[in-house]
Amino acid sequence: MNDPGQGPSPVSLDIPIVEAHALRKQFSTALAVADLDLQIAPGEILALLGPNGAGKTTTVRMLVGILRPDSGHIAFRLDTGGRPGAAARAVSRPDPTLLGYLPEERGLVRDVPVLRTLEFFAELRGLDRATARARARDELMRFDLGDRAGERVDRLSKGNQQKVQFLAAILHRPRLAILDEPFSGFDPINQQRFVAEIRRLRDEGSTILLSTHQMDLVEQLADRILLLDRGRVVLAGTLAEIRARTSSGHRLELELATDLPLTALSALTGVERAEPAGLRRVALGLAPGAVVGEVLHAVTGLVGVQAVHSAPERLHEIFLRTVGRDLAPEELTASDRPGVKEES
Amino acid sequence: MIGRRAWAVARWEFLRFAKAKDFLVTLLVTAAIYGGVQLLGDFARGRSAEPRTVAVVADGRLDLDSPLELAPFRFLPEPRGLAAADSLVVAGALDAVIAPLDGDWQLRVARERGWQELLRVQFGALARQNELQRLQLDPDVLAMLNTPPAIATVLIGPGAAERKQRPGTVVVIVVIGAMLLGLFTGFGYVFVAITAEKTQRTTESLLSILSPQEWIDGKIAGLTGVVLVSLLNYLAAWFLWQAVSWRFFGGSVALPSGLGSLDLVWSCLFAAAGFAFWFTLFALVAATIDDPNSSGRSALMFLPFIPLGVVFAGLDTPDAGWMRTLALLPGVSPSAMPVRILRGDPAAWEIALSFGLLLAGALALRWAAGRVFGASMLMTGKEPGLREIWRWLREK
Repeated sequence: MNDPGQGPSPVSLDIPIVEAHALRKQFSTALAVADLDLQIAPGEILALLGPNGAGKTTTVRMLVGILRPDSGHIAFRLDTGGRPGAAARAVSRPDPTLLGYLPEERGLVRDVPVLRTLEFFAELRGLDRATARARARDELMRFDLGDRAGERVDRLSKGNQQKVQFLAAILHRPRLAILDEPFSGFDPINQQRFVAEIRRLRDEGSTILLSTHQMDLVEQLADRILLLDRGRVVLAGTLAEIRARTSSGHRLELELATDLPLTALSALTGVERAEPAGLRRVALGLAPGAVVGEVLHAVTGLVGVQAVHSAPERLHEIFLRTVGRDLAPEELTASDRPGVKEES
Repeated sequence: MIGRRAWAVARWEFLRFAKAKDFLVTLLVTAAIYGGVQLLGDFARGRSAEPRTVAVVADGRLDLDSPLELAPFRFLPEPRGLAAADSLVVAGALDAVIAPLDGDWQLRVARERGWQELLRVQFGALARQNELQRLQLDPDVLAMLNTPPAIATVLIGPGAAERKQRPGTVVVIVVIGAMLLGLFTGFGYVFVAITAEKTQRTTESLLSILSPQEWIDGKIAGLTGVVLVSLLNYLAAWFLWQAVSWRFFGGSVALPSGLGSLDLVWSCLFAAAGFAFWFTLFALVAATIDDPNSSGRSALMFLPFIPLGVVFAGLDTPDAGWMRTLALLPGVSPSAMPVRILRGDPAAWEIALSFGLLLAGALALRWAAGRVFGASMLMTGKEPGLREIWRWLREK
């Protein structure tokens, strides 16, 4: 398992496989991306994080060439995989045979059989028909869809359609796979399966750009994280680097003997916030410099404590703390605003 | 020229809509419809073959002693007089009565009908024959008087011997009808293929691989292929019915006369280029439609049917000035020029110019459609206005 929180970044950005500089995209009423810099190292899993409207999807769409940035430039070195000497061969548009893209807005033609759908996308991505067919059959078997190959796409469940869409994006084994919200719509079991699949994809040589809201999965997967807010990068680095940079205090998880209002706990000296963490369990985020013993002493003065766990701050909490400036509800839920161009 | 990826799209679109099972069902059903129409026609003609009965109160003016059949009429002598004959007409037992009126004849009927014109002609000829016979002329003289002079058509001018025989109106109507059928079929396919893709959100996946131009090229090529195969299927159904008819009912296979192979080649070329032209426009309009159930733009897709209707008015005047002009306009020429080729005498340069302009128009439309397609396929929730479309066309 990749554990970015436990050590230095394993990737080198000397010759990035993708390099974007000063990207900017303005829509009629909103600045979606503002002077964004981004580099993806060969072989890494880079996660784009941010609330809805942060500019993740607009960034992704500019990278795959669907949207044109108002200013800034993008350079790809997919054919050489970022090896030394490749800098001179950078191109501004990715070769589609080296790119895999799973869009946030999923969609497959419903009245066409699964196998033919996969063949079509693989053929467009440069595979010959025989290889596309053989590989599609193998992958369908691996994803427990071997016996559904001849069925129309709309006969599959939503989860299985997601699998087909994922396979359509990666069947040609791309150098760079850009996966926008790859886990949405999956149950926890399939989410874990996809974590393994994405890791497998990386182990087979693909570089991966991940855009997702699932913080716990990002913690498991990502080598580096780019946290966006209002079109700008607000945090970047490995999880360990981000934790160090945000200088957050400890996180205590307490099992209480009786119920206690969270407001009473969050009012204690040294406690920044208190959140529910299960039945009679609360998580306390401590202020930087707060002394754990003093906080515990204060808590036990209010309520009996049966158990105490201490852990570093989770990405979810860093995310909320960093961009948690009065997030509007729509920023934390799936966007249903019309118009692809206006989404980000 | 379209590239490898566009051909992959063309194959995909073709296989998506051209289903062997559907074609087979259409072949059999259409053959059955052809047969049904022909049998119904034969039945109707058989019914109308029943002669209309006309009583003739001759009063010595006509030598008619026994019933005389002159299809589609049967003339019956009526010695009982006018009142008796009139009462039979009123009762519906007779269709008409003919009787002398002063020096001429009168036709007495319950109401006026179209067949009475033919009756006038037929009875006039009968009465004239009767009068000639009463003159007791020499049989040769009588035969000479009864034989109208033959008028042969002689083609004159340079190359008259090679000039073609003109196909009948029915053949031209069939050619234009096939064009109409192809447009309707293509309209359905293009509309469904594009609006469904928009609503099913396949756009982003494809636009990350293909340029809008490759996408629309592949779509038009694939769907034009489906339409041409559909038309061939209707033609095959006609041959199937002809074979069945020949096997079970005898007779011979009716082939259109006066249709030269070069005429057919040109008609097919104009049809294929016309389909490409109009389907590209269909694709352009369909890409700007957000909700196919409520968009007023669907009506724009009926635009190509107007020139087809206009061209029907020129079937009898294919070389008139207005038809010559229409036959040069891209979009109208796919229907107007075949009419001129089949029924008129277009110069070779007119055909070449018309085809060249059609191809140029199709290429210009293809370019515009590529521009509009890429931008509007990504737009959901609203439809682009004319100003927006104009901006996309001008963007570098």
